[in-house]
Amino acid sequence: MAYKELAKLVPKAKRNAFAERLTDILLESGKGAVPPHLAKVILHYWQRDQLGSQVGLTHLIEAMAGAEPEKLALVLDEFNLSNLAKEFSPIWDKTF
Amino acid sequence: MASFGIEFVPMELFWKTTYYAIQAEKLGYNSVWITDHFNNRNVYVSLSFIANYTDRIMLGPGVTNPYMVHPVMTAQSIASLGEVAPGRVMCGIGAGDRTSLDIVGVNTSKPLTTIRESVEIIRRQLEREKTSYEGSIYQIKAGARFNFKVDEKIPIYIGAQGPKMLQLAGSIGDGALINASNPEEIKRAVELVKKGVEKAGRKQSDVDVAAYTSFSVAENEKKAKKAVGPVVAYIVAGSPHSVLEGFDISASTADTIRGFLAKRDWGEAFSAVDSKMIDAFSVCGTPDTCVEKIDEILRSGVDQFVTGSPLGPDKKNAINLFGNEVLPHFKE
Repeated sequence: MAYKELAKLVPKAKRNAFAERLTDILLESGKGAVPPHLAKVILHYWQRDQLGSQVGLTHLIEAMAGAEPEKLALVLDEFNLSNLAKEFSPIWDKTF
Repeated sequence: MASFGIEFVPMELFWKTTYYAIQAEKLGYNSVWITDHFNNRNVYVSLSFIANYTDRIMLGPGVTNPYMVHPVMTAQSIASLGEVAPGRVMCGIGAGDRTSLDIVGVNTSKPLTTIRESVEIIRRQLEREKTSYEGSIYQIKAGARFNFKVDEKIPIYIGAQGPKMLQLAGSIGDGALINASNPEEIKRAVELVKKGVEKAGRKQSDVDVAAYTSFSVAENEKKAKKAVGPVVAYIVAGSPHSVLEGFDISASTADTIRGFLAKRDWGEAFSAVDSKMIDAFSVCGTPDTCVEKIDEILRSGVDQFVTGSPLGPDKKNAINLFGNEVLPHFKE
């Protein structure tokens, strides 16, 4: 559930922009990077305009952690969330 | 009011194509067309996925061909899709892309008869016709009907480029997908579709005429043109000589490009595309340029404008640009 906790850290005002940024990266990721079950959940929330919600972000972060962990770190930096994210080790230990 | 469609070539993972289709629906597009080539992901799997994550947008193969897929199977596929997305399915069918059919040794003979009979068979199958069909290409024995009922009418669009196929589309199609991007060529094509409509004693309103263009939009004109080059290479390679002559493009140039494509020599094939070919076979540029070009195309009697591949250098951005900066000019 650490992904959920991390999603909570993203300020509400920045959630949509954060989700958009993650989505852009995931759309460029290679085959197998996003497991089909997660891809379907992402589509579910995208259809409902909920990717920027806490639950939508939770799934996007989970997908990013598996597919593009280094880029996730960069985006967290970009949104000034790196320090907060580090609190959620061990998930982030490998990638930060 | 004109309607607007978008074409996707299912080269990417299913979820990505579906993501873009959802995006198109949100922005007000009316239809999604998925291409059918053996070397990409399956058209009906793609459509089924999209159908599950959209609510309003029309969808269908754009276009399938009867040389690779028997019309009975096409009928079965669209009927099944109709159960997933009731009232939202359409079917585009055409003579196929010569380049990709050549590779697998499929003979594309008698395209007019093949398409005419295919459309007849698809309609018979959807209506669960019991009697036999005796065509010159296809013979279907009595009783070869579905074990399930199809409750809706699925419109059949005929993909056409040459004069005779355009007239056939007007004569028997519920729609015509004019495979062209140049306004003058589209104007000529619309007239040929109308000729077919008149010959068959139908009304013009019976046929939804769509300009199925090769499209590329970007904030920067140069980037939009660069993105469309590879698609134009395939169009030139697959165009009838009569169409090429109209744009002063030699048959030998097209043969050369086709040869490079067949050898998968992309670099040589794409570099052989020049600006004359891009102007002839695509609608591309900035949003403002695209508005002007689309306006000219719509004034030629087209009911639907389809933004075909590649859409732009960045697909997501291109869909947003079209939906936010181009579409509003025509939906007001």
